[in-house]
Amino acid sequence: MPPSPTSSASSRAEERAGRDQGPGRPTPPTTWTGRGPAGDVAPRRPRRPRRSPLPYALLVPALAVLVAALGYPLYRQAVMSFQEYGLAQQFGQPPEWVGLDNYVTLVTDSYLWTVIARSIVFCVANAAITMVAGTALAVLMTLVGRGPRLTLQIGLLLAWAMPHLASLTVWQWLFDSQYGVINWLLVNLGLDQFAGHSWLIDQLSFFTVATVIVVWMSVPFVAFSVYAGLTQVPGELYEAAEIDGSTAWQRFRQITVPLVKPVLLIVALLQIIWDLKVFTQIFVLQDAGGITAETNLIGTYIYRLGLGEGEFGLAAAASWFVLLLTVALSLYYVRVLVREEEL
Amino acid sequence: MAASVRARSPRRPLMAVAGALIALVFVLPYLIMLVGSFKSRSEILRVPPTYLPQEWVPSNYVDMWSTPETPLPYNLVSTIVISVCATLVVLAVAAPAAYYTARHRFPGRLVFLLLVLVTQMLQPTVLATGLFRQFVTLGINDTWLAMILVNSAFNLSFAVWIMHSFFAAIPRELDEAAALDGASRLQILRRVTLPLVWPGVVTAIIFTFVACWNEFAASLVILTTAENQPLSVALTKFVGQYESAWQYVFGVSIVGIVPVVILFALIEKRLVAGLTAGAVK
Repeated sequence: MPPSPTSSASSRAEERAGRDQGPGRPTPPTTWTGRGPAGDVAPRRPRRPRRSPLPYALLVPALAVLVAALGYPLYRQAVMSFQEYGLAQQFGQPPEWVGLDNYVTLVTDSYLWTVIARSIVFCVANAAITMVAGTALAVLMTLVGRGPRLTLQIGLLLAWAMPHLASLTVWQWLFDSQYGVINWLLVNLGLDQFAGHSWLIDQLSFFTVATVIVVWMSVPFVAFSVYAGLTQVPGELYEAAEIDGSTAWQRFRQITVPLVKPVLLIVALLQIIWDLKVFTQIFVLQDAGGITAETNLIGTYIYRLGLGEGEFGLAAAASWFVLLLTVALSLYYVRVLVREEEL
Repeated sequence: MAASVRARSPRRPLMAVAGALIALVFVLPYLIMLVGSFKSRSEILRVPPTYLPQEWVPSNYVDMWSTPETPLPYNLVSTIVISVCATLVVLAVAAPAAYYTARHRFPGRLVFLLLVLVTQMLQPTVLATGLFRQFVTLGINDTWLAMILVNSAFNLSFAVWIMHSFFAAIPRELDEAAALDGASRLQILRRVTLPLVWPGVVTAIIFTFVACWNEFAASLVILTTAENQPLSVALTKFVGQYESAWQYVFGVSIVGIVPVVILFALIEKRLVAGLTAGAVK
């Protein structure tokens, strides 16, 4: 047993014991640490230790890792967002403090809002498709025997673990206008207009291809997480419901969903956050022939602003702005999520 | 029980077929990659492309380990060390935090959970230069340690949240019942809590490991020595402006996935534990 829970438990017991001794010996809770060893009083197991500083110690390692790795880069980014910071500054010229200028420039630029709106639409569509497909696969895993389940899981794992460079190359080949398998299939199905069809030139079809790739890359994560959640649902519940004559859909809605809701909510939240900042897939597709201005999402927009055009101050401001926007939007969701599990 | 098995059985083979078909769709890019890894250098760049190799070149899998482009054996070791260490760090720091935030109410709980989540909203491409400067100042730039730290920080969030939701799902009465039976805190943790959260822990492990295994943006900036670079960065060395050795890119990717599958095979049994294992009855 770690020493900390013991001490907190015994001090709590001590505190109670002190109070039990009546008004004659008032013992303010703040002084209990100075009162002799815990053995003095009959040990009484408290239900839950509260208000002890030690539990925070359990959070400190996680916070330490986050601060050590990300603290300075975030701080630097915040400072830069208030500076005129371009290529000259990157090479040693002292940056000039410009206050909120970068933010004003961004917010008054209608292109930023176009990109944000486009990103939100893309993100909602992708997250929704991913969640539905991933959850369906997770349920499927629970319905089949061990052999098919392992086949499915390893298939998903192979897709998930494929290096992005390799998978994006293969996807580009699949959608290639001249020799791609997709066009070949469509033409052979009788859709002759797809002979030599270029998928990346038109905005809508660009995002269709991007959606296929992003969903393909994200579904394994959702399927695995939701499946893990489903293992927590006691099988007896289904059997009882089945005997009562409920349909499969009713069982899913009334038993599965409520029980795995915490997992579903957190997986959906993460999926939304990731899809909002999707970068690699869009960047590679743009490189392969998309129209950059019409297909930029937040991730590629900020990248092109910073490393692309050397406007590091603006890029820093943009990423802080998007960060604050995302926090504001997800704050409500997180509160609901945390409250949900308390019920 | 018998009734449910009978009711479900006619649909089972159908479900299995559906599962196999979906798995096939998901592994299609993988299969194309597998086939490509057996093509010769000239064939893989041929226009129009061949679907199956006209000449199978299994020697790609031998040759790729000693190319002028990148010291592949070192890259593999580097990837393994960074991913294993980062996964262990994530587990070690995320599990206590997840347990405590799930089981106790305290001031700052929501702030902590939100703060952890915020790390997922950051753009790695924007952070990269800041990370680089930080590690240069600390004198650990271009080291495994730096990448272990970065990977741990990037992946802590999911681990904390998913384990949090598994801990939160365990009925408190279970602990109390075990405590009444005279079990110590450690016994409760080992015999009651842990079996129930194993699926969450396993998911966190797989997620973190896969994410570290494929991390690219930060590794590219921080690890400058070829021997220190992970596979994800090494792969780009095969892609040249004029000529690309895709057969090696694919071969390395195929070999690179093997450790991930091994890890999964090792811990897969824990994924089916949970309530169905009969820990609570």
